[in-house]
Amino acid sequence: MNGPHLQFDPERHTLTEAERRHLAECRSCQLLFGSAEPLGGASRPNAAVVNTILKDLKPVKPLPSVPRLALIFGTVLIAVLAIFTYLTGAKGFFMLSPMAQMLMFSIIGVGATVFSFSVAQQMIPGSLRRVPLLPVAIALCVAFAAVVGLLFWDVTSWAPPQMIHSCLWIGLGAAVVTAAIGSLIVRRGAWTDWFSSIVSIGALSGVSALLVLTVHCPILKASHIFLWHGGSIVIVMLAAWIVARRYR
Amino acid sequence: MDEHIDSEAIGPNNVDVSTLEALMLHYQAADAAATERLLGALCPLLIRFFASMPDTRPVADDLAQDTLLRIHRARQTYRPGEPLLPWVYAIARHTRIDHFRRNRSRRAKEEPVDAADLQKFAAPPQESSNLREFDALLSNLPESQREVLTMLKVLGMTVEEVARATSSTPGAVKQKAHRAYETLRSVLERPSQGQSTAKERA
Repeated sequence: MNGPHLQFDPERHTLTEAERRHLAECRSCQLLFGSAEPLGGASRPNAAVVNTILKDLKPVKPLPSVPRLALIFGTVLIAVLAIFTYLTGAKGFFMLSPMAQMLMFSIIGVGATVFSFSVAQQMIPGSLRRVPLLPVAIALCVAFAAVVGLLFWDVTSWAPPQMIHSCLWIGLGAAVVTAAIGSLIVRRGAWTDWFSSIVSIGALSGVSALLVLTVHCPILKASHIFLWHGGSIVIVMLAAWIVARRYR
Repeated sequence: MDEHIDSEAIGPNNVDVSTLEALMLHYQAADAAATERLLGALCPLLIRFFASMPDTRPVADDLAQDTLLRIHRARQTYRPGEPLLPWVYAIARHTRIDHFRRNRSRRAKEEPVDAADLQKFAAPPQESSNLREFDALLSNLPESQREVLTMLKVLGMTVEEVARATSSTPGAVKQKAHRAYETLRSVLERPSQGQSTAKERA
């Protein structure tokens, strides 16, 4: 082989003499270089498209940065919490021990931060994601289950439910309100991955439901928390996944 | 879509990236001349993007024009100081996915026809043999790896740019590229045995 393999540079349109010699001998580069040949056809914008764009040309204000958008979603969570606490009370918060408060709100805080950033990033095409969402979501679920299981385990309370508890409706209500406000905000952005966007909004709504229920609900039993608090999150996530599946 | 703007009127196509980003800011401020120059500069990049993948090559021009309209509708989402090309390619990738989705739903409603009958009327392929071999080579890879490899090696994007354009993380892009290289290496080293092995892995 003559010299190192070719490096493709879209800005450069000519080959050096050394590269030409290499290309004449290297089958791998011949294959790759073949893909970079001009492919024919027009490489100019269509007149009708340009005219349409020019007719619709108005100044636009760039969206806020991802951290600012995430902060807006965080504010939405706090607003939903304030509304539901006003309506349903905050007995649960005062029933929790300082240790339980720290652990529960740490998990909720991490979830709120991760999913707020995720929804904000979905609004801006080409945003850089440094944290993979699915492993974080799974880790949060495991952490939540572990904390509830360790702190609120009570074998005597594992009886079949007689009726749907109000916590489910409160959780679903908080999630729906969060999803509705969140959807209004994300309309300013441009989704390029609908599946991830809808699932992220679903996850953020689930965190909102958990936050409201943790502050509201004074029943500190693992069975109750798993069934009704966890149930509302599962229903929200399932609904988001069913809607998002259409766009996969 | 057959009437085209004269390229001389919109300036040279091979504008450097910082110029493109400056033009984008003028576009956001509704500067008509900058908008025309930017559209003229982005169009060949978009056609190249769609033409680099065999499944969108026949409709590369139409998809590029569609992407320009989408870019216009999403222009407020470009943030000054951020790299422009990953933003453009993320929108282009979404156009491509939408194209597949539309095709899939259309095919579900169509009656299948005998391919042999159609072959009689088909025009001879115009692609170079190199391009066909390249497509055959890449057909050994799953779609996600093929996309990453094309962006890295044909479009000349960096790992971070590909991560931005594909809504992924740099780590995931590196992993996909590594797997693609491994598969291609085995295919190129053992052309006869490699293809079936690679398909099994995929």
